[in-house]
Amino acid sequence: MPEHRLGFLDADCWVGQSRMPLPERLRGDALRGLLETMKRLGIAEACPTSSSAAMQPAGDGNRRLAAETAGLQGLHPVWALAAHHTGEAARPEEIAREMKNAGVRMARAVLGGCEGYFGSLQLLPMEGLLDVLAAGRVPLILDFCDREALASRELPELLGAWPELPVILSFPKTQSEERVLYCLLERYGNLRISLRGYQVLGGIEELVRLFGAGVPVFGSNYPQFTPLQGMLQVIYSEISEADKKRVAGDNLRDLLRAAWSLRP
Amino acid sequence: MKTGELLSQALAGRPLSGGPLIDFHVHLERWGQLHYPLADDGLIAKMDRVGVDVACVNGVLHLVTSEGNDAVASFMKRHPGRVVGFAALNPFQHGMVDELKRCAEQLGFRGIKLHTMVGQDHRLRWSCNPREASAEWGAVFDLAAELRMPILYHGVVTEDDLRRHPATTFVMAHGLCGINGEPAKRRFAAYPNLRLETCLTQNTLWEAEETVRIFGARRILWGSDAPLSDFAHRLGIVLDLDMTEEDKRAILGGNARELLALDLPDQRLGRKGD
Repeated sequence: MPEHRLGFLDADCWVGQSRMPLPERLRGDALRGLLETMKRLGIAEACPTSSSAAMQPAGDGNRRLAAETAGLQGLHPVWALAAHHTGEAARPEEIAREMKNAGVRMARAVLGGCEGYFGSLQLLPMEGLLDVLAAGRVPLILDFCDREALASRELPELLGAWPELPVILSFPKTQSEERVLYCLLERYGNLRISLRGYQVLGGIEELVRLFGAGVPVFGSNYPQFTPLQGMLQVIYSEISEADKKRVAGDNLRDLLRAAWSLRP
Repeated sequence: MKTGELLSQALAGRPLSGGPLIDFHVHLERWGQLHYPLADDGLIAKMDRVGVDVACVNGVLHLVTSEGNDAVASFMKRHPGRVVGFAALNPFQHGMVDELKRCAEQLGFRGIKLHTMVGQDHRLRWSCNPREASAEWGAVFDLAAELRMPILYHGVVTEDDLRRHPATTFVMAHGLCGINGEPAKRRFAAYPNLRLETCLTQNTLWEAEETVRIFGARRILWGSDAPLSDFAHRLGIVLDLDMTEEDKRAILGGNARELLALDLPDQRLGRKGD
């Protein structure tokens, strides 16, 4: 399939071993599976996170992902980052240096909670990391699992204390979250929404109408979901072609271009 | 086959054409606990954009279920040929057999929607089980068979019901990826009166493909759960299945057309998007 005219860039996908019951073809050469899916559906670029890096912060999943994606056109590795105090992860300054050296321009927070979804932001141990990411304008994905976490005081605290940090929220599904989300979006300009779980009818149109086309970001949760679901949501949405391009990929491209470039 | 005319149409943003597109799972009105940007008559414009010919609409979200059924009947009248009414039944509020007869005979409904949620209230959350609230369930299932009305169910129906009412057609809502594991799928597939509907927020491609392999494409019905979910989003899981174009078309509308005995003119279906 030729590359789609909207220039899709998948902000929210995974590769590698996880606890999900993945079929063999997605467990083995996971990057090849992702590239084949991108080619089949006409997706231009993707930002994969290593599942093993997110599940085992002390391992070498991030470094392996950076090495394996080096030289592969259209893939931008995302590093899963944990707090350093237990010794499982390097100190924030060291992480930042390593990310820059490896050309990694996006991060995903590894937080407490089950199966990679957090029940609490645990801001205190993450402060150092958030400082260096915000200084570098490095986009950060946060995985949500429950409404209580979304509605907690920690999220506005994070968005308010690090206004230069672009935060992309990723949650499994949209049900009753809008009342909190719209309130947050009204107050904080650094908040973006991954379409991974944002499936409500007319949802993209409403986000664009109320908060602008810079808020929704195409993300698929591949390989658990087929990226075609979110792609069709964007393609059929009733917004302008220019806004569709922003949602499909240009919003994130702008963020990736800005990462690490503003301050050393 | 992961390519084909349907996928090309969708990626081009054209309304799907060349066969019926029937959504087996659509709600009318808003659910007070949730915010929807769009509902009610706004559904029709969205259906047109994607190419949905017919929506099977239920009023189960209404606080007063019989009024929800009336609202669906009114929606049908406002959009002739585009809406098939599904009767929502609520053992806490009315005689279900009487309400089903009213929906079939007076309102012209063609199916039934059952949901565990009808017994839920913000003061009694999870505490009311519809099955324990009525002795009418067996009569409802038998009447559904007599009226040839399929039952789209979310909870409420048990495996024992599938066994005891073989002449009734049951459609498990969210069933494509809603039965965990191959052994359970094979056990449920052994009931010939069971079909599965596709909508789910967490559909995974490999599990969907396993389900279709076990049940066969002719027993799967496409649904969106609109307005909770986007019609276009929900097409993705079917269009990306590794199967023939013919099987995809069966899931997307052919099976529902047959099950509901819908008379849809082929000329209209071919002209969509022109």
